Amino acid sequence: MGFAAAVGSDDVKTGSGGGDADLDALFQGDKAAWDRFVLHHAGVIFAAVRRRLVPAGRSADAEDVVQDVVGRLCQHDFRLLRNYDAARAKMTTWLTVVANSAAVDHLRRLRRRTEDIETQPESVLAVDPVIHETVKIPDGLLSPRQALVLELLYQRDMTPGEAAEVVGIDPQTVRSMHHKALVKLRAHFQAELGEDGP
Amino acid sequence: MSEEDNKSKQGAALWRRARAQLPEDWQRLADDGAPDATLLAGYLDGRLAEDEAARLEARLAGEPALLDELLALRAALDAGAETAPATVVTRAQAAYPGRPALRAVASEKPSLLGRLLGGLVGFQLRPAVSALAAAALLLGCAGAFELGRYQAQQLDTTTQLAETGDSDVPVEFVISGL
Repeated sequence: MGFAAAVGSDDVKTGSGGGDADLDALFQGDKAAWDRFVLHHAGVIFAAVRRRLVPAGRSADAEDVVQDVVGRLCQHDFRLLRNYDAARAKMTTWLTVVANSAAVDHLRRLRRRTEDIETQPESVLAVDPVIHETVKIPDGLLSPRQALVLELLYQRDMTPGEAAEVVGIDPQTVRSMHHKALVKLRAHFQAELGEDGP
Repeated sequence: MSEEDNKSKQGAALWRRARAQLPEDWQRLADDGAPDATLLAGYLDGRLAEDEAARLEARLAGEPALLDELLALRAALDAGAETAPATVVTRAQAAYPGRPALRAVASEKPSLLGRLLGGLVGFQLRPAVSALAAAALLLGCAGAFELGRYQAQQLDTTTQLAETGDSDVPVEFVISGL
């Protein structure tokens, strides 16, 4: 048996199922408001937690990690939950981030407990570092968004459509950014070579 | 496919070179630690102010681990919610910490006078309570010792009577009389 937890609505202003009015009520000690909040959002938290735990083979821990998330939301008189700002993010998105973070912490704790660093092959411990050179591209040559688009296209091998979804912009804008950024970089490095060259 | 769609080898080489030379200011942003939930959620929902989004994007371009997190979150949101088992819901509902008003009363600090009196009485009484307990224990021990001694004397007397006394009196009777 399970409880369906709606996510599509996502309306934090409705006052039903975990809206602003309900949040105020549960902060005031209304247990029924808390029950509605849980009923409405348990599925989001559970899904975010499982998404992290299942690939790590720890799906059995999902229930405990959900409890951990609930504990984080409630502790110190709902300090974390009071931090939620409906103007800045949807409740479901915010809860997904919080639940994901709790699951990552859980896996990290388990890894610390069970892994002996000495027994790990070097390949596991190796990280793929971004090697920062002392020479820097000039500030303003690329905008952070152009850099992110290049990172998604080249390092993550995404299509312009996929990159657009991550950044939250139009695929055509991604294509245009890609093109402009390469033009700028080409010009910059050519000038650099021209200056450094014989 | 348009020219902008083409991810060329040259483009990849240019970006490889550029990403190793990202501006110092962007790299310093990583010193702020992990971005908080509201910031990441706001970015995922496209609700951040332009400057906030730019700061986060500068970090995302240079911090592969942070970009991994963002991509994982995006995938989780795209996948949507699951049906939570009943036990998860009931346990979560039972975790409600209670009414803040009651908790406030429980943790309310006494007034200055109350604290002063309480401290004074507590300070005066605490050693007295210990002393009384020690005295009671001592008295108890002494009483038990005296009682034991008395009973031993009685037993001694009775035994002597049984050994030396009148043969008409059965020994069992005398002893059972104790």
